[in-house]
Amino acid sequence: MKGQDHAKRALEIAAAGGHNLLMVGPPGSGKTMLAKRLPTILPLMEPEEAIETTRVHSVSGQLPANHPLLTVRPFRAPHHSISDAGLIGGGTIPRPGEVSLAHNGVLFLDESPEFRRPVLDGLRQPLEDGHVTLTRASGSLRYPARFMLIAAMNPCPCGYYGDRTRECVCTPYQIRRYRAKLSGPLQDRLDIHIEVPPVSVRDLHDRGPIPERSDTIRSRVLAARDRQRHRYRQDGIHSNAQLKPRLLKRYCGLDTQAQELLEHALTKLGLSARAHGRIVRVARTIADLAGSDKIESLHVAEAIQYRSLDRRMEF
Amino acid sequence: MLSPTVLVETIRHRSYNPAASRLGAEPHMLAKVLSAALVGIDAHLIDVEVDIAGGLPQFSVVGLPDATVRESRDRVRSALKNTGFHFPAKKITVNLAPAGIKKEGSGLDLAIAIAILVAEEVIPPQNVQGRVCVGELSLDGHIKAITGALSIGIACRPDHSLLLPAENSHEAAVVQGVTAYPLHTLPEAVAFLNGTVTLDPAHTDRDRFFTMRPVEDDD
Repeated sequence: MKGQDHAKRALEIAAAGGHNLLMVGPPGSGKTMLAKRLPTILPLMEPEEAIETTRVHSVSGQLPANHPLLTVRPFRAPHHSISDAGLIGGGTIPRPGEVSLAHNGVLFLDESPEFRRPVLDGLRQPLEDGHVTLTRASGSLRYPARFMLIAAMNPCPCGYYGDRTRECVCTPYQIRRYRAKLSGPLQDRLDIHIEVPPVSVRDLHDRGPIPERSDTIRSRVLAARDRQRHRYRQDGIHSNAQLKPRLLKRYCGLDTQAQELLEHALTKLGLSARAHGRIVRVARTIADLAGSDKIESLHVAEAIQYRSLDRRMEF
Repeated sequence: MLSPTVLVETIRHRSYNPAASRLGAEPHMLAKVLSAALVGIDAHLIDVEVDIAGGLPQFSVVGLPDATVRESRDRVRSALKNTGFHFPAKKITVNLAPAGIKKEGSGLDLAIAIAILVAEEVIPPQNVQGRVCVGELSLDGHIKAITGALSIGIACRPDHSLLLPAENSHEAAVVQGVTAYPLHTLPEAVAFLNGTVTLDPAHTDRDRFFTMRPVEDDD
């Protein structure tokens, strides 16, 4: 995979800490391609995870014939015309939906503002609880649904807002409406925001630096995940993305320098208190990737730039 | 015309023991075979009970079956007939217990067919003990794939062995401590249960899947 080093770095962080991620970029910038590569930098599933994911696929009859056991994390990319029953699960005898088929893997929503609002809002429970409970007159069923959410969107309806080579033809009102389609509560659950610019011709034509192999990135992700598993072995969680405020305080102490930087950024950029938690969580993952027990101001600085859209969303 | 008293006498006589007068002692015609039904991603073991009684030919399924399970009557009848087994022209009642679980899907076909054959004394009842049978039957007696084999394998643990479609057998064999016998046809299943044919249990090497690498495909 060539170019897009900034985006690749963000995906590496997301993979290492289990963070949900939002990609904003014009058409053809490679958002879909980036997301599809994500399973190749993720570790294989643990035996219990593999059994649980395989069961969901088996029950819905989607297990490939030559794979009696799934160990590679699933990647699900439903089309935006999907119904809420298709995404969350449903029917008179409820069947597992895409969120459950993506259990322990990646759910990719391409063109995320095009999804129907109730469909997107249905994602809140699984994102929060890691499972969906479907209740019908005949009874209530619970399907597992713990996944990494990767959402992609264009910056505006025409797709070229902020592009240096093409002019955007959208009115500010249209842009605001388009972006508001991704509801606030859902945006809140997206830890990392990145902008994916168009790929430069130089990168495409082999003249750029040799891109890093997925294997190399994966070994870093694995090391960072091991650190987290070791650290949280008594807390019932296994990744930084799952840190609740109480644990956040215990494991993500900042030194004065980092604290000052963060406070400065929050006021300057007009970020909310909620963004504060997200930044610290992502900074924790960046530190884990760097093999550092302490969160340095360097890590905080990188984490801050992954909130750029908080500001850009309102204008 | 019969007088009312004679009519009542006739009915009483018929309903009292219609077959015994003609055939002598009735054979034992009650059978029980284990199968499994899915609830969400969990499988539950189901008792498939079959009673064959004299009377007008009838084939009914009770115990909260859904439409696909009720349709299995037709598949079972044809599958038995087309593989050379006798389908009894009697009153057949299939009960799926526990009745509280809604049974769906075609996986109960095989167990119903086997239970009829047990009740018909084609298979001795002790040969089906401790075995769970799942599989969809085609009209020519082939056993077709089912969904949820892995969950069914887990539900069989640790006391039961599992007879299931060959296509799904590797999936169930992922579960450690479960013997999963792969089946292709109904006659094969009957021969296996009667001990005239031996089958090798399916084997899946779990470790192979945990050393795989995700492939980076070009698009």
